Amino acid sequence: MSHDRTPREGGTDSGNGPRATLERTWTATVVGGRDVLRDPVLVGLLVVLPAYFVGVWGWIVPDEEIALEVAAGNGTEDVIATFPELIGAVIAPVTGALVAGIAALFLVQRSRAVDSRLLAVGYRRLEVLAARFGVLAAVAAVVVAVSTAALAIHLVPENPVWYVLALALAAGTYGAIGAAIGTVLGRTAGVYLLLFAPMLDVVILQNPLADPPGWAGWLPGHHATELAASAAFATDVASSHAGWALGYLAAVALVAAVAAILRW
Amino acid sequence: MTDVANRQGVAVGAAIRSFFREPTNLALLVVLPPVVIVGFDLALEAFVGVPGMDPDPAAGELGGTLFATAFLAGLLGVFQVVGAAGPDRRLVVCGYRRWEVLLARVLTIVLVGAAVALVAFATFFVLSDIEPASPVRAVLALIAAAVTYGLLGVIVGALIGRELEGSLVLVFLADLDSFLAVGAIPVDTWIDEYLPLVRPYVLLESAIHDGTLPVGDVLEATLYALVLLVLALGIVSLRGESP
Repeated sequence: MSHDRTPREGGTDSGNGPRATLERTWTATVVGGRDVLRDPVLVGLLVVLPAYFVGVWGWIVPDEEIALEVAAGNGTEDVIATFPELIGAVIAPVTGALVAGIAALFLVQRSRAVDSRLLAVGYRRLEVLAARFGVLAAVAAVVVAVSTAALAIHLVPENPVWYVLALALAAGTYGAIGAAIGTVLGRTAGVYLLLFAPMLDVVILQNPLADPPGWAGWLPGHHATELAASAAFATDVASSHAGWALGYLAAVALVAAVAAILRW
Repeated sequence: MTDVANRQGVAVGAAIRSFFREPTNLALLVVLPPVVIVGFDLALEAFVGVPGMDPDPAAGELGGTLFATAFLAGLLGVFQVVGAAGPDRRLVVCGYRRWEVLLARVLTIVLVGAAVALVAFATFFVLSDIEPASPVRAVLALIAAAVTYGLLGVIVGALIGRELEGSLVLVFLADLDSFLAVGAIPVDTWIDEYLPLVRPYVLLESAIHDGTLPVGDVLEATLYALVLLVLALGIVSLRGESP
């Protein structure tokens, strides 16, 4: 299906300059955001589920000290942490990954009809994409904020800013993966994948206690989780993981964008 | 009685046909259980030898098989209740009683869950080095997991009534359950005694290793499923709409 760039009568395409592009993108983002806010159950779950998940995991594991080796700016650092601190530090990124991934899957599928109409009235594909990513970023930001607040019950990260960045990167990466999956798979298969993938990746394979196989370093949660563990426990953060995680996020976001464009 | 059976046959047949008509559902059934079983096994291998976190060597494969079966049934439960609201209303208009419609949904979940259990067990049988002592009992344990999660999905779907929100609730429940039921992560609480997959996992372990199904655990798993069934019936009835 092709979409010409000529605005139809009554359309929203009032110009081609950067200002018009920003206005159109902002309008579509606001409308998408209102759609999420109009659903109080979803908003409630975006707040309650991360709080419950991070809180309950930190509560049920034994309060014992364990020795860990985490990534640091100059290699690795040996630290002592309690089990609730460790599990909290690992569960918070996976919480963002789960919520952002599944929300992205459904938001992409729900918005197909709206996206087609926006394209028909003269929106550019990039504007529609930017609007969808904007809504997803807002969802991820809420989840990251709630997860960080809930984590404070069990752990105050050594480097809070880096830790929040790590959570945002984990949520963003799996959000982009969810958006890509949403364009090619149905809801059952998509939710099924987006449940198992973050849990196996972040909680099990990237866990600082684990001795994972080499290929685990290529998984989407690797750099974000390494950064999270480093920011939570090391005095000198392994900031190189932030760069790699950003690169990974950019790559999967590109894949999601291409998948969406091909679908349109 | 024959009328009820006939109507059930028609409703269940239609629901199963509509499930298997979707190519992605068929792919899901065939491809994802092996992926999950292998993924669980590889993932738990990473913890072998970690002090305080040393899981049973078979836990990865058994847990993966159990969870692949259970979670798919749970999702079916959510989507059957939420997504099938329109067709169900039409069934009621055509003369079906509300409980008949719910029964048809539950039977659909049980039958598709049994199919998933068979595929998951076949995958386990092919991939694993473990020789199952009693394959039939192992499949029964997997069906118990499918029924339990299918009913949980019905409850979540009926309570929340939306697919995204229902999926999120089920995912967060299932995540906690999957790792605690198989003992992958040590816990210090009574919660793990009451999680939905605890009894089915014990049954699966016994069936695979000893070829038995301990009576006490069978009774507890049955009681758990019955309580969920009563809750599902109650919630769907109270909701006053189609199941």
